[in-house]
Order: sequence, then C-alpha cells, then structure tokens
Amino acid sequence: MQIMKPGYPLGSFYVYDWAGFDEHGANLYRKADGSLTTAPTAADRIIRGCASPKWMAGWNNTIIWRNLSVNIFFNGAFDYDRLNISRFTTASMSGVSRFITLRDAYFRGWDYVDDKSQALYPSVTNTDNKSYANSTLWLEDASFIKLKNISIAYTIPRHLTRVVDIQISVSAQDVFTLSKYKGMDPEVYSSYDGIDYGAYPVPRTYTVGLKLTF
Amino acid sequence: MHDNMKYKTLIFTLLSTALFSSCVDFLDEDAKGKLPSDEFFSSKNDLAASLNSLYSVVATSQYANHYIGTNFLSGDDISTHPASNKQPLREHDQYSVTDNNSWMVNLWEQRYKVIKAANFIINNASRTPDVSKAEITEAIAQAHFWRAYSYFYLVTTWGEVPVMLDEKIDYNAPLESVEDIYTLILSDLKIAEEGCPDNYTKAPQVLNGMNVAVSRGAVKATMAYVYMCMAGWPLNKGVEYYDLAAKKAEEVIDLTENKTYYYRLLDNYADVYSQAYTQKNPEIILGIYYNRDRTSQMMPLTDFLLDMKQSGWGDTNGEIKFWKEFPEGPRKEATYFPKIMLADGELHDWWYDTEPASREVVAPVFMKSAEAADGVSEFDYTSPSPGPQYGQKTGQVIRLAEVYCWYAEATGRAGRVTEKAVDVLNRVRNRADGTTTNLYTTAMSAEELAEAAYNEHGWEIAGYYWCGFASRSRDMFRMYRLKEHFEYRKENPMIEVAPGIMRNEAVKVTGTWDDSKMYCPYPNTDVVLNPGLKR
Repeated sequence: MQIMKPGYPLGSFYVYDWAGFDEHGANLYRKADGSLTTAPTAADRIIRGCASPKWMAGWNNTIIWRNLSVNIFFNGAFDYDRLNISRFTTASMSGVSRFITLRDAYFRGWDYVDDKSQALYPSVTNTDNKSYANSTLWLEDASFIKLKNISIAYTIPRHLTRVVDIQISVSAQDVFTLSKYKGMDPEVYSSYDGIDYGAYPVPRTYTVGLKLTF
Repeated sequence: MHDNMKYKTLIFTLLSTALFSSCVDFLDEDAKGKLPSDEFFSSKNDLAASLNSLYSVVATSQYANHYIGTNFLSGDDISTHPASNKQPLREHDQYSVTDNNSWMVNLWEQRYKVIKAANFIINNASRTPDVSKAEITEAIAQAHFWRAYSYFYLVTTWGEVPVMLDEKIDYNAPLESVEDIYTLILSDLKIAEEGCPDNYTKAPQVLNGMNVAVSRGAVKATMAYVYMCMAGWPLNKGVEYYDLAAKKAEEVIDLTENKTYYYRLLDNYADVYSQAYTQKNPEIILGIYYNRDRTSQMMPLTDFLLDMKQSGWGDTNGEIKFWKEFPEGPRKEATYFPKIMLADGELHDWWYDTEPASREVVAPVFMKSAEAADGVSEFDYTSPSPGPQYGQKTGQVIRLAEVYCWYAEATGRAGRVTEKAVDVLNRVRNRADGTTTNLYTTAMSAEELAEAAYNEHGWEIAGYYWCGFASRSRDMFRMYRLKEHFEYRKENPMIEVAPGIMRNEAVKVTGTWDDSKMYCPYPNTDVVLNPGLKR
C-alpha cells in the first residue's frame, strides 16, 4: 500500500487510481496508459499522497483579565493523507465486516440510488466489480485543525480568603476537530504509517482543578 | 606530566585495540538454535527432524483454500459467490485473474516453500552419520516426490516457472520451459518410485495401518496422472504418453490386486469423505493427515453458503449444469447436501428462493469438507449447529477410485478398450450407483470409454478442489476444455433444476477467450523481485 522510492517522501501511498463507476456500477480504475478498466493490474498502481503532513501549526494564547485567565491552544496539520481502511472494510464486504455496514455505502451505493450519478459506492451485486483497499477511493485528505486545549482559571486572592490563594480552573482537551477526513480521527492511525485500520481516537477530556497556595 | 602521558598512551593503546584489530574467532557466529545447512544432518535425529519439517510444510501448504486450489475454480464443477469478499476466488471462476489477486501469491509461495524444504533434504541428507543407506535413500526419495509434486502444480498453473534446486532462492532465475519442468518432475518421480517403500512399517510413517508418508504406490499413481497431463495440453504428446499413463496406473492396480498394497475401495461412497474413515481410509493412496490440536486445516466452513443456518463462509458452491448432469445415486447424495438448512431453520431444496427472489446464491452445495463441531461425530446436514472453523478431515490427495478412472481413460485415449479397464471403471460406477449396474461394457468405443472415465473421475472428485491432486479443473486443462466452459458460462442459460424451476449461475463471465486464460499471471509481488517473470 505504500512505496519507498528515491524522489518520493517516506509514507507515499502506492494505490490504484479510482475513476468512478462503469455503466453497471463496477469500480473503474485508470490504467497506466490513461484508459479505464474494471480490472487493473499491479502495473497500474500510482504513487499518490503522503502520510506525513507538509506543515504543522500550533497557536497557543493566554488571556488574563484581572483574576481570570483563559488559555486556548489550537493545533493543526496540513496537506497529508490517510488511507481509510475502516471505510474500505465497512463498505466493501471484506472478510472483517462481511456485510455492508457503512450507512452511506448502502444508502448511497449504486444498487440503492435511483440517480446513478449520485452514487458514491460501487454496486455489490455486479460480479465484475473489483475492490482494492489500496485505491484512491479510500485515500483521503486528513488535514485538520483541532482545539487541543481550552482552560479557564479564576484566582481568589489571599486578602479575600484571609488564609490561602485559591485558584479554580476548568479545562477541556480535544474539544473539536475541523477536518474533511471521514475516519474517526485524522490525528491517529494504526498499523503502517498513515494507514487507518480504525485506530482509537484521541478522547475528549475534561479537567476541573482547585489549587490552594498557603 | 609523566602520569598524564602514561594515561594518554594507555588510552591510545586501548582505543587502537578496539578499533583497528581484526575480528578474532570468538566473534564468529555459532548459532546453536538455528538449523544451518552446513551443520545439520550431523546426527541420526536430524534425518527424522528434516522429514518432520518437510511434512509439516506440506500440511501447512494445503491447509486452506487461499494456500492451494483457488485456481481450480475454473473447473465446471465449482463456482463462488458473486460479491462478498470472494474477489480472489471469483477471478478464477471468471477466467480473468489479475496479477494482484491477493490469494494467488500464496499459491505460488507455498509451492516454493515445499520445494525449499525438499531441496534441503535432497542436497544434504546423504551425509547423515549412523543411519543405514536405506533410511537415507527413503528420506531423499520422499523429498524428491514432494518437489516433483510442487513443480507439477506450478507447471500446470503458471506454465513456465523458475526452477530452484538449491535451498536458496535465486531472484535472477530464468523461466524454464514446460517441457524441461516436466523432465525434472519425471526424473524426481523416478527417484521417488525407486526409493519409497511399498508400505511403511513403523510410526510415524504409518498410522492406523495407513501410509502417512509417501509410498511407492502413491508415486506410481502420481506418475500415471503426470503422463496423462503430458499427453494432453500443452505438450500434446498423445498416445505414447497415454500408454505410459495406463501402464503406471495398471501397476498400482495389479499391486493392489496381489495385496502388495492394502488399498481397496470402500463399499459405500458416503464413507469416502466420512469422519469414521478419515484417519483410516484404505482408499487413500496419498493423504495429508491433519489434527485439530496440532496442525488443523481450515476447510469445514468454506462450502456452506452464507445464508445457511450453520453459517458458512460461502467461498464455494456447485455449478448447476454439473450438478444436473451428475448421475443420481449414493455418490450424488454424499457429494451435495441433499437439503440445505437456511436461516429459518427449515430444510429446503437448494433451488428454493423467496418470492420475490432474495437469495444471492441459489446453487447446489458440496458436503465433502463439512465437519461436525466436535471433530469426531459424523456431520449431519439436518443439524443446525454451526460447523467448526478448523477441521481435521484428511486431505485426500489421490484415491484408488481415481487411479481406476485414470487407467480406463488412458487406455481409451490410447485407442484401446480392455476388459480390465471396463471392469475397474465399473467398480467405481457400481459403488456410485449403490448397486451392480455394470453400466460400462467392452462394446464401447475407445473414445466412449475415455470420455466415460473422464466423467466418472469428475464426479468422484467433484468440488474437492483444495487438497485433490487431480481436480476437475486440471482434467479440463489437460483436455483443453476450459475454453468450452468459458463460452458456456458467458452464455449462462437457464437450466430447469426441478419441474418448472429455472436457475442459472450467479457469477457472470465476460470477455473473449485467449489461451493466456489457461494460466494464472505471475504474482506481482514476485515480478517485482524477479523481473524475468514475464511471458
């Protein structure tokens, strides 16, 4: 699914170039000579996409107003891809899932939709249909921006409490993700670099803090 | 100052010792845990260990349908599911195999693994000390057999392939011609025939009175079929080789008649693939013995349809035309499920479908590989209990009934009709009919005899694709009949399977025939390593 080749970055995907469906709903792939086929051979694979982001960014900001402080941390990674194997297995009757278990793969599949131009997934009754996990159909832009952390803290100074400084804080991690990636979390993956077999996503966590300074 | 200088000298000396000295003997590896060729076969036990290893590799190489036999779906006896995860099987059934077929690479790789294990013994076993010459000969003979066996699979599946005669794998090896590979196969088989005993006398080569290791009879039977293949496509050596085939098959038959071999046909066909006889079936001339607790096979669920109550994998099912032409009788009843139990828990004829139609695969179902969950009781098709994923039924590579068929066919194709050929063919058919019909007579023409035997063989081994040496597909290959079936499948006519009920195949076949469809393409993973792999 990936290739190491001089001139290409590590984590380059080696995939079939998916090109829509034929008139009976079978997956079409672009051959090396540019023509389309339902039965590509190994020589038709192309190098496309990369598992490592071109660039990453973070923005950390703390705003303090009187006794209140707010910290916000965004981060993001851009221009990279994930091979979404979870989507492949749930949409392709592979051994793991055996049936179509992805909602879209059924309701937006060729066999279900009336207007075939709206189909997003191939026919599963066409015996000529071939599915390959290593296809651009499952290769997705995984660029994302995440609110990694937000925390709000309020300090009650000693002269009010007479004994201690009290700081009360509330914070949340991984609050939201902006991404077109269809898998669970563009930031994590399992198995090989950039190949998403349904890795456990980074959980959203909440923290409440109380700090007493004597 | 003085002291400092001393230290510097000392450090320099130590460093130069560490950095510039050459390796000394104690650094040479002596990996006691490995079995390097040049250290092995230094004691008597090594010989037995090398054979154990070979048979273990052989058993693994045939344990499941993604390791062997997927290509036999091109036969007219067997088909698969039209969708699901069956793409690797379906490509063979559709005669449109691509070089990226995800199972095909295993078919290729497993054969070379057996070859490597065999080469290890062939090239090194003779130096084993403290064992008799006879024991060494016997071990090497078995290795030659399995090497020939593997090259036979390769040459009938890919045609020209690289030939490895050393333990190492050479990625620059050129393709050898089909003719040359058959020459190697025959020379290996002749060594095996010479060196393998008629019967083994002690465990583990003999278990429950059965030859578990390759016996001379097994080699002769194999030779008979190899000659038949050489007589047919693509070498087309014709009558001369059918004669050779008939002669080899006859040797097996004669040595069985005079009790040199213990082989005999079981009385009831239903027993042939039964649990009761699986470890002690006197009809098996060459078998691969499995054990669920050690090396199991992974076959019991492959033939059950996905919508059956016993919840199978739906890998394979019978083709309708073959089923229709299959003569009624005990053989047919034991080959296919007499009735299938669907999710509703009811028993149905295989052609049953709901109104409107909802079943994806409406096809006869093979019962030969089914096993009861406990691995001991006889399989019962009326029981709803799910089958086991791992099984231990013996892989029946060659049976006596097949040798009878080959003998009759080779005799017929060589242009003769003999009483003996008709007689052995009738033995097969009488058992299939469950009564002495003696259907075949010497009044038949040689061609009729050959065709009758060809068909009987097909019915005997129908659907038995992963462990059989001579599958239906291979019969069609050597007779150049795959093309005919390709055209038939393209047409896919409706067939009346019961009064008023019409069915046809679920898997569509399209395209135009050319002889490249006779072979599989070389797996792309190996083409990358050895660019010489191209036609």
